[in-house]
Amino acid sequence: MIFNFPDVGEGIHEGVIVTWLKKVGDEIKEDEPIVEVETDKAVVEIPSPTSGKLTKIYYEVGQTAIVHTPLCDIQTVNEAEAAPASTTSPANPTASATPAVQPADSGNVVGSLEDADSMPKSNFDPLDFSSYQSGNTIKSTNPTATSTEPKILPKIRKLATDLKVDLSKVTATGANNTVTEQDVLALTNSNQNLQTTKEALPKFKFSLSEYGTERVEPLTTVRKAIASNMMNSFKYSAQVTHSDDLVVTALVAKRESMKPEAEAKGVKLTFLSFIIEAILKTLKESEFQKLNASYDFVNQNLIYHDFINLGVAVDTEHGLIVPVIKNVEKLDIWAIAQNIVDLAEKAKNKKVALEDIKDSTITVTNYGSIGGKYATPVLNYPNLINIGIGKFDQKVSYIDGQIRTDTILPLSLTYDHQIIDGAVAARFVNRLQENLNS
Amino acid sequence: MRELKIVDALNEALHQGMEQNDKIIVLGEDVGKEGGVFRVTTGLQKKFGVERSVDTPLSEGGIIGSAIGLSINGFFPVCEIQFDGFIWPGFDHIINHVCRFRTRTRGRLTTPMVIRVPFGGGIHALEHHSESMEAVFSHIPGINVVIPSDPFSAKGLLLGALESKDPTIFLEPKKIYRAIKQEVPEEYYTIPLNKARIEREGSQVTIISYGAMLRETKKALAEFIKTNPIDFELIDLVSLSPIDYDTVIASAKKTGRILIVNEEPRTAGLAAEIAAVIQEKCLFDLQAPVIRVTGFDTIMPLLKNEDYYIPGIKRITKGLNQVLA
Repeated sequence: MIFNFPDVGEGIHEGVIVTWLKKVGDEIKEDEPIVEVETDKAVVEIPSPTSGKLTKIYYEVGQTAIVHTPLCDIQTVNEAEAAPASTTSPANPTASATPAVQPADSGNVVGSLEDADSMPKSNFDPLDFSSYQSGNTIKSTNPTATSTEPKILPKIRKLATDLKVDLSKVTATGANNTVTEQDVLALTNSNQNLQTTKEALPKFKFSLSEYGTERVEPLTTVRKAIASNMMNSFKYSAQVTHSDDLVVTALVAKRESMKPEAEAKGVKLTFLSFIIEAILKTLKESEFQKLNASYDFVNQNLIYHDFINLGVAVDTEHGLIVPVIKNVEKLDIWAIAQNIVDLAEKAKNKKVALEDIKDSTITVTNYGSIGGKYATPVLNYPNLINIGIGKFDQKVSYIDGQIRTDTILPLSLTYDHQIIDGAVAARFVNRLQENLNS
Repeated sequence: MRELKIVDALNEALHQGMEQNDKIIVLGEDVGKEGGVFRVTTGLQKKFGVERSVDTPLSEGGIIGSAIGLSINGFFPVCEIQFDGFIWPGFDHIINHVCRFRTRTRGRLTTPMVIRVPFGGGIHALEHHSESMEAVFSHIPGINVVIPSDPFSAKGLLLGALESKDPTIFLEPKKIYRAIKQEVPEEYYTIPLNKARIEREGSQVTIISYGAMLRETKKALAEFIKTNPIDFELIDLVSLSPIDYDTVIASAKKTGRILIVNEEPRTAGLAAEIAAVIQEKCLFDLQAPVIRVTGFDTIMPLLKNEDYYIPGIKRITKGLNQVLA
């Protein structure tokens, strides 16, 4: 092909040849500089538009080349194959001034265009796949494309893969025939027949309007969340409650002695703060660290946390809220006391942010401030324990010939029996009593 | 049948269109005597006279502004913008007037016209000569944006645009202006502006491309299928606004795997838009994330580096492997 001196920049019409970087006979690659040309503005390297062999140059060093007139001839591989004989042109003195073949007028172009006329046919031919046969073995249509198949989101597919659940056995209960997380989890239970399909639900009779008028009140968002959390808690854990009366006479005295300091600091130093302090201390003991762990049943792992995020169940007019004090293990009793007051206040005023009710590792339920000695607190799933604090009471005992009156704290510890053994729970409560009075 | 290159096919379309409709006026820089920098308008001035093939001053604002006045008054202007990078002085007219007259006047006045723009990189040119800004135009309501990928579609689409009652941005893939020779019918024919073209039907993966990148994509596929005999579906998008989602979505639902190849900067591009619609409409049919093979979020580099910017066989093959994984 004849390579015309390309337009190298706005307004440049000619340039003086400075150096030929390639000589006749050299093999050149596409984009490889062939020649240096000095224009009004700069010295520029002119790259080759194609790979091939330099067969002819039209200007010697020092001569002025005109833009869009032939600069050199480059024999492309294809040309070499097509016409090997034409590579040596007869030594004709006039041939250096005018090319033998005048190129078609392809315009006053900035840059260079690929031209079908100077390319091997296979390069410019619109690539045609009409005769192409794809491999038969892998030819298949998208298995998800048929409309009757349940629809499965990637997240659910991954869950099914992780849980080794066969998706073809899953019954889709979501809207528009979609498979929900619950549908997959339903098949992870040991009883594979336990289906949670809508059809499988027993027919409950909720409305009894034949006896009188009724009022239907939709659940609030908070109530729906509570209901769902409670059901998950029972679904995924094996809850047992251990109850005991803890003697806390020494603690009462300790709190009395600290009251002046509390008043000076302006902090409401409740028994709950002391109880939390003692819980934290007990949980740090190696045997009881697993009570602060989480059980990842999907991967069958126990995840130990070296921090404690404490949820405190708070009764509000909109329902039960469990604000969480993050990294409570770093706080002293004064900070704990202040945090409890602040969170309770926030919860009651509906000022709790979503952040404040997330990610607890244990929970404390202080129903005793309202009334009642023992209860069966429900695990704030996936926490492994929930400690219920009952109403303080007095106990009269006869020890070593003496009648003695003690203050007792009725305590109910609910734990997940999947992970926590009864003996561990009992020993935890024993140690807690010691720590409460130390 | 004789074979034409894209340049010749466009030139023939203009000749036939102007014969058919004497309201068509071609205007632009050097379009008359010179026949345009790429020679698309060759011979028009000789045949139809200086009043229908008008050499304008170097003012894209003037070219498109004049076209608005002409079209409102019953003419059908065909503007030539010399290079894509030069269109911006006229962009104000496009976004504020060309696309709006039908709405602004409640249909009383319209601005049918074709704005021809040599488009894309790959010709070893200077700054402002190689950009791919199709997403900017596709973002504008009220105009059609189309791009042919071979001589046959170039002629049919341009004649289709010349019959449209609305303005069309007609992007011309300059890299392949002369690179493809193809049989093109001599007679007048049109191709609908808003239809994608299925180049090959297949069941395993959908590859969407357009313009010069369609050819690169085909080259990559020709190599790829030598070792991976996949049953691919190849779509030439053709219409960049409106996008033919009937075709795109049906294909996405069928194959569940979609690869989009173009040379625009990546962010907020046309490929991103198509991917967004596919996930909205076909989420449950997808077997892999929608993969984009595009240019980069950089200024289009100068000639020495442009092949690093424009997706080539290597990057398209990587995309194929990703979408088939």
